[in-house]
This record gives sequence, structure tokens and C-alpha cells, in this order.
Amino acid sequence: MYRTSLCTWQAILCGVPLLTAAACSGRIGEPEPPAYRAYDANGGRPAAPVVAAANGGNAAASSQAASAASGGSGGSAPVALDCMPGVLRPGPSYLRRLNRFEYNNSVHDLLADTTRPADAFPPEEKSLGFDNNATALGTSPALVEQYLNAAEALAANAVKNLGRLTTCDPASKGAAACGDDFIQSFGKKVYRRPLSSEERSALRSVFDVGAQTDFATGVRLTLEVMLQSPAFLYRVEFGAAPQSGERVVRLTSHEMASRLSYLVWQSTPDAELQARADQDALRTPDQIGAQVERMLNDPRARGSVAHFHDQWLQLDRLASLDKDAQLYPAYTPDLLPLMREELRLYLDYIVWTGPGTLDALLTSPVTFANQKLASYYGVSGPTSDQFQQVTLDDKRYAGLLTRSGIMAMLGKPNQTDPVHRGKFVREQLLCNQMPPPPANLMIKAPELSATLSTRERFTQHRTDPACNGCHQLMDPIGLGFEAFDGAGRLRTQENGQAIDTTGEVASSDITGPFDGAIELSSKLAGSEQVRQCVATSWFRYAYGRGETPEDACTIDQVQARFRDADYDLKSLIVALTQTDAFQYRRVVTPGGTQ
Amino acid sequence: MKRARLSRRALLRGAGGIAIGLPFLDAMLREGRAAAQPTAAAPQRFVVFFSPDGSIRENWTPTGTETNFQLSRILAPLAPHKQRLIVLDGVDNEAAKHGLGDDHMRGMGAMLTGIELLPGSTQGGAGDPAGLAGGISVDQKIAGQIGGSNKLKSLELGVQAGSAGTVWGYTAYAAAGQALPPVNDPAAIFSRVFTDVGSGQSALAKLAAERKSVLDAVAASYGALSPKLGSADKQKIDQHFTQIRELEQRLGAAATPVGQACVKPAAPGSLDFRANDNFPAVGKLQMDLLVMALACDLTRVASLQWENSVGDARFTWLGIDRGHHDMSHDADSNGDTLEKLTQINIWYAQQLLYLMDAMAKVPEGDGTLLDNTLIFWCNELSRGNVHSHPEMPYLLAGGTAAAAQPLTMGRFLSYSGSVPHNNLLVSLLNVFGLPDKTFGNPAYCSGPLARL
Repeated sequence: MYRTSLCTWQAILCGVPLLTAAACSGRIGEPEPPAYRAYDANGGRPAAPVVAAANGGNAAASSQAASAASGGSGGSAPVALDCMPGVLRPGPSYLRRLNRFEYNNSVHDLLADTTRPADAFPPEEKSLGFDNNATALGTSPALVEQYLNAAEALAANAVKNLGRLTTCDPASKGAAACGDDFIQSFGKKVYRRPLSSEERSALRSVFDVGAQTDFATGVRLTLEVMLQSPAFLYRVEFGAAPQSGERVVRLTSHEMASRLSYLVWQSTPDAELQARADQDALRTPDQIGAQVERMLNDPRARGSVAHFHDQWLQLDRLASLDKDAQLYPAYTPDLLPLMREELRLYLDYIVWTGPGTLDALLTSPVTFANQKLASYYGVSGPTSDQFQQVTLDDKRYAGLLTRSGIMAMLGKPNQTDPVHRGKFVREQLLCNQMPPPPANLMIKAPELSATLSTRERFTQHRTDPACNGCHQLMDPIGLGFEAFDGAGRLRTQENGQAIDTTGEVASSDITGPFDGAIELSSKLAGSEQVRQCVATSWFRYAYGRGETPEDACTIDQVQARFRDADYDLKSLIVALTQTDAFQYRRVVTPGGTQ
Repeated sequence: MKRARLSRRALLRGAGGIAIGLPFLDAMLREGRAAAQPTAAAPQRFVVFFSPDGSIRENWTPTGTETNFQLSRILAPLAPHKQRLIVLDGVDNEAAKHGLGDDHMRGMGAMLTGIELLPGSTQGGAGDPAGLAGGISVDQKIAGQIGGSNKLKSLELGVQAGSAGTVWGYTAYAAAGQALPPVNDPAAIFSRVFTDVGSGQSALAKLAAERKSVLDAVAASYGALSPKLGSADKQKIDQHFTQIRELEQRLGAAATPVGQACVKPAAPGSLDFRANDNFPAVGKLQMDLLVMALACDLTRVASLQWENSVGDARFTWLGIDRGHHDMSHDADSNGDTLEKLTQINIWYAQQLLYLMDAMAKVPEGDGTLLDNTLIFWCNELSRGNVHSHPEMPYLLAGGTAAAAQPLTMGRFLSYSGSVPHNNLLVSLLNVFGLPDKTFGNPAYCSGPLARL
């Protein structure tokens, strides 16, 4: 007995029509997690409009929805919401701790630090596939100790060049005055907002301890405190002061500057964002949109988007792959970093300099290779270690899924892996979650054979009812990639037989047969479910949380803009800043439900 | 309090090396033996030694009676320390049979906590999604009793421990949902344990005073924020606040006597601690550091987590190419796999032997560090291919000479019927002077483990 996520809440989360459940069906008819029950009954759309956490609305409904959505043990089914004009539903907003990537970027931008101290921090708990999920990012004694170590090292380095930190001259103006100046001006950068008088005086006390030695020591100790303070390590938000009775408020401009910079750059706001925030000029959708457009033109945006791609497409799996040297003589481990680099350049090209669209990501014949990788592909052009743009044969290759790195990553050491190729498409592109095989089954991959094809060896998955329920959702997709061997290279034969690349997609909006990876990629590129899945994945990455029923309108807003922009991926990022969830938050009640 | 005194000369001699290998440790410890002073009682320590994916019971369980028994194939490497073992047979991880998560997850979470998992979003191979363990782990409870005055309340080491962020990845828990991640990089362990050790006293005092000012101000900023937040956020900030306060206490403790007994040894050389084939070398480095940390009394409680639950290391140094977890699913009819899994568990017994031997070389009073260290070798499953939790392969090793309630070692205890392992966890608490009569979920506990 096992969970059938595919057929239940995951499909709802993705905002796609409920899949026919009969397929992967360990547990049909059992209760759903309460938060999604209302959705479920209506095929993905909420039933009765209920105002929750909206101004003038019903706060009790809000807290109930929030607790249930965040995994609480809400007993009765909360009521889902419908979009109504003039009613704001931002969903929950949690304190977000900087993850390692954000910490490194932030100290780089604040202090010109290049040591990447957070690489030594414990890895984040990933949730919903991403390393920035607010509820999953707690602290441990080891991490808190490393914050101390990192702050000490960063501050010691930083005061070697005091001129970068403050322009105040203690010799002429006095150490105390320059201490105050540093606290006020540099503190605002680190805290991403002006400091309160209490904060300034607390920092001044620490500065005074160090200043007994010298000015630089005062600055160093003050900086150590700043770098360990919650105002730096967390994104703390309270929103604008609420009017009487308001339950939802717009973010302050300083809070918005941080939301923008950590969304688009995964780093601290730059001077322009700070200036806009100081002018309180990050309040309207247009003001915010204009900043996003500007920020997307900054090279830092590429790093942030690449970080999304790494996680969405699980590219870290390319860090090491074992392949059988006898079976795949053309494959050598030094190809791995090249495949990784190819994907980085390819995704960069698609989003930033090339066609820009999701369709292109899934179908483009353009890629990047150096001589070694080009020869693995069997294309000519590159003649050195330098990567250059090449165009692959569009009768054999189409888009992301046919890149050697993806196919090798989704291949076993000594054979292809139709199960995981299909699973990847199901989970990463269609946003279904495939349950792992039941633990009480003896799982044995079919033995290698000198005569049978992979398709033949996996027959049991089609014939055994214990397997078929789920595997019919994965294997027929994965078998469509049989033209790519376990090391990601095209092949025409297996065990002397011609390759059969026919496949079938079941239970989706592109249900039906196909022949080969090119046709499948083309079907995926036209799939509404894939588009919604990409938008959903971005939602989770951008907002650092999963969707709740209250986010129905935000998701609608994002998807409508994505569609209007012909599924341009940069426009999707802009769209994520134009929502209730991004521009508003619930009023904080001390000690209360969030 | 008794410390293993290591002379400055020995430590400096070791400091010339590029790695803390055995020769270095040996050199120090030989010197240490000569320098050891017979003083008051040594401290008692507790070490968790975890290996994953179950064992092969027929090759694990000894034969014979409680005091006259023959070690099995898997435990045979430990023969030199047979009188320092208590082999347990028939203890069930009862808490792992209930609640959310799959068998690996429940086994791992309940292993040291004795309680079901929290709700969460980690989807395992079966069952409902689940979060982290639902309670404090027994090592941390013991650390609260005996570890408070040391530089580190406890030390969590990993050897390619993966699955960070999920219940598969952790052995130790400060509280429900608060995992203490094992550190896989020996260089990071070295830095955490031995930073400051051996610095001059005046430099240490100045550093300590500066840190106190800094951490006081940091803690105050968390204290000021907490009451303004909603409940979920407040919980996080409060936890962070507590961890800063505990860090302050640790650092305060570290500034006093430890620096006199231990000089900072050389940092481990560069070694790719993530590379599969470096697994044994990383394990030895971690064990060397662990022994040093205990010998210098920088910590009294530690866990050493080999792989993780569902760990899939390839034991290529034994000529085994398939992953550990991958093989653990094979049917009993596959004799080749059964033998390989047996070999893997024999290898783990050899690592435990190495650890025990290293401890036995550290003199303390009339005995050795091993006499004063109780090691608990545990696993999240009893047998891999059925993912079960009855008759867990549990072993106690070392000694309890300095414990509040010492154990008689050198025994084979066989239990019949369903004896819940929470009883064992209660007994471990009792050994360390905690009077608790129940631990974990009381539904799976009937008091201390009989006959232990």
C-alpha cells in the first residue's frame, strides 16, 4: 500500500486538470490532505468564493486555510477562494533565511568578498525541489557557529580596506562620530533598510568595545554583529502600517527592494534599488515592473535563473556519473563538465540571447559545444576547447531533453533508463509526483541481455498489475528516448535490432502516441500542463513556498501574463512580481497564526 | 575532572604532518601515556556509530549463552574487545512500525528518538510523506546531562552522509524537527573542534572578550525581534536565539582549561571527501578527529554517521561495485548479494574495531578512554530487503567505568517476544545518570531494558 501522489494533490498543486486516477492507484478514495479537498472536488478550481485574509474579509477562514495548507492538522475542509476584483489575497508570507547561494552573493555584493564562506555551511533542507523554501530553512548549532566564523573572517578581511566601508576619517572627525556614521550608512546596506535608534545604539556599544583598541577594530566588531543579525540573515517583513481593520498590507518600499533583489539576483539590493526604496518609490506595479526589467538586464540575473534551472532540472546530478567503459567507449568522465557547461550555455542562450520561450527550450536544435563534445555529438565546427554555438541535425535532436547531458544523467551505467527518463518528464515537466515503488516489493531491474531490447526487457512493467499502475505513466514516455544510449549518445541499433522509439503519453493534456524524442518534445512544447508546471515551479522558487488555495488568483495572474507573452521565460519572472502574493502580505499579529 | 594530558612536545611533533593520520595520533598518544597523571575520575562519554540499510541477521547474531558466546562472522573482527561488547538480539524498533514515512524514514527517525516522524513533504518509498524525527534523540538528552561544560555539547560527524534536509540524513536531534547535521568534511570538523585550541592565553582572552560583546549584541537583536513575529516565524527566531546563547556558553567554556591540554593539530590535508573511493580514508580521518576530540575533552557526546539511511555507497575497496542500498533490496535467494552485504557489515565491524583500538590507546587514570566511552552501533533497519524493524542489529561497545550506572560488558543478551527499543534508550539514559523511566513515545516503552 503506498501513496498515489500523482493522482491526488500534486496534480491539483500544478493547477492542471485532475488526471484520470485509475492508472497509478494505490489509494483511490482515501481522504486528500484537507487543504486541497475543495479543489479536488471541482477539478482544480475552487468551489464557493470565500474571502480569506482579505481586507474586510474573514480572518478566521484565513488562519484555517493557512494552517491546513502548511501541513497543519486542520480537521474540516477549508473553503477555497475565487478571484474577486478588489480583494487582496497574498497567501502566507514567512520569514526567509538566506540560503548558501544568497549568503555568498550578498557578502560579495556588500563586501566584494570572493571567498564564498557559505560553501562550508550545512546544505539546506530542500523542499518541493528547491533550496530556498522558507519553512524548511531552520538553523542548527553548527550553522550558527559557522555564521560566527564567517562573520569574523569576512569582517577581518573587510577592515583591511576601510575606505570601502566608510568615507569618514576618524583622525579628523573622531572615532565616535565615524563609528556612528559607519553604523548608519553601512548598516543600512547590510540590513537593507534604515536602522532604528535602538539598533544604532546597540551597535555603537559594540563599536566602543573595539574602538578601545582602534577604529578598525571597532568597525570589525560592529560588522560581525551586523552579519549575524536577523536583519541580514533573514528577510524580515512587517509591511506598511495597517489602517484600522486592514488585514492585508502592501510591503514597504525597502521590503520590496529586498524581495526584488533576492528574486532576480538572489542577492542584496543595489544602489539604485536602495535609492528607490529611500524615495518610497517601489509601491506601484509599474514602479516594480520597471525595476525588474532593469534588473533582468544585469548579469546577476543570469546567475539566479541558472540556479533555478540547476534545481528544476536537477543538473547537480551531472556532478558524477558512472558509465561502463566497455559498453560506452566514446564516453569518458571528462565529458561530464562539458555536458554541464553545454546545458548552462544552452539555457542561458534560450532565456537571455536566443528565442526566450519555453517552446524553444524544449525544441531548439541550437546548442553549444567545444571540439571534444562536438565529436561526441558527431557534429563539426568547433576546433578547440572553446565552446561555440552549433546547430544540431533537427531530424535527430530537439531541445533540452535530447542534449547528451540530460540523456546521460537519465541513463544507467550500463543501459538506458526508460523509467527515470519517463519519471523526469512526468515530475519536472508535467508536475506530477510519481510515488516510489512500494517498499515491500522486491525491485529488480531486468537482467541485461545480449539479444533482447530494453523495451522487451521491461515487459514486466506492462504486464504485472503491481507495476503497471504507475509504470504505464513513465515507461512509455521513457521508451521514446531509446535512440539515446545510457551515456546520452545517439544509437541506431541495440543488440542488432533497429531501435523502436515509439511511445505514449498517458493521463495528461497531450495524451496519445508519439514516435521519438523530437515528436515528444514538440508535444510537450505545446502542452498547457507543461506551461503551468513551469510557472508553478517558478512560483515555488520565487516565493520560497508551496502554493495554497489562497494563491489561486496569484497563479491565474502569473499564467495569464505568461500566456500573453507567448511563454517568454523572462516575462514569467516579471509576471511573478505583479501579483498579490508578491506585492502584499498579511498583517503580522505577534504570536498569531501566519 | 580528568584530562588525558598530551604534552606540547608530542602535539607539535604531530603538527608537522599534513594530515592527522594514525602515526600522528600514535605519536601523541605514546607521549600521552607517559604524561598521564592518575587523578580524579575521568568523564564518561557516549558515541553513536551508525551504518545503514540493515544487516544480515544470520551472520550477525552470536551463538551461545549470555556470558559464554561465540561471535558471528560479522562481529568476529571485534574479538579482541569481546569482553567490552554487549550484543543485543531481539530488540525491536517498535516506534518505527508506526506513523508517517517509509520504513527507512521511520527507522532512521525513531532510531535514537523512539517516536514517530513529524508531518512533512518528504515522500519515501511507501507511506505518507513525512518530515523529520518527532523528538529529541537519546544522544542529545545525554549531552544535556554530561556535555554542558565542554567546548562542544556534542559533535556530529559524517562519512559521506547524504540526504541532507530529509529524515534519511540525520541521526541526532536537538528536539522534534531540529536535526543536527553531520559534517562530512574532516577539515571542517577539524576547524570546528580545534579552532582556538593551542592559541596563547592572552590572545584567547582577548578573542573571548570580543566575541562576548559581539554575541551579546547578536543575541539581543534576536531577542528584540522575537515578540514582534507571528508564531511560526517566532519559533525560528527563538531557536536561533537559543543557539547563539549556547554557542556563547561553549566558547566561554573553551577559553579556559582546554587550550592548556591540547595544541591545535595539523589540519587534514586536501582529500575529496565526497569521492566514493575515499570513503575509507575519510572514515579514518573522522575517527581520528573524534578520538582526539574525546581525548582532549572538547566534547563528551558524538555521533559518527556512515552514509545515510538508504545509503548507496559502492564498496569498491571490497571489490563491490553495486550500491549498498541497491543490493540491500535483493532477495535472500541471491547468495552473491547476501555475501556482499555480509562483507559490508564485516567492514563496518572493522571500522568499529579501529575506533575502539584508537580509544584503547588513550590512557585515562588507571584505564583508557575506551573504558570510559560507551559506543552504540545502530542501524535504521534490521534487514534491507524486507525493510523491517524487529530484531535490530544493535551493539553496545566500550566501557562505562566512569558512568553513573555502569553496565557489565562482555555479554550476549537475547530477547524473545517484542521488546521495544525505547527500553534500551531508557537504559542508556540511566547509564548516564538520567533517572527517566520512559523515552520517546511512551506507548512503545515499558521502562529500562530488562537484564541489561
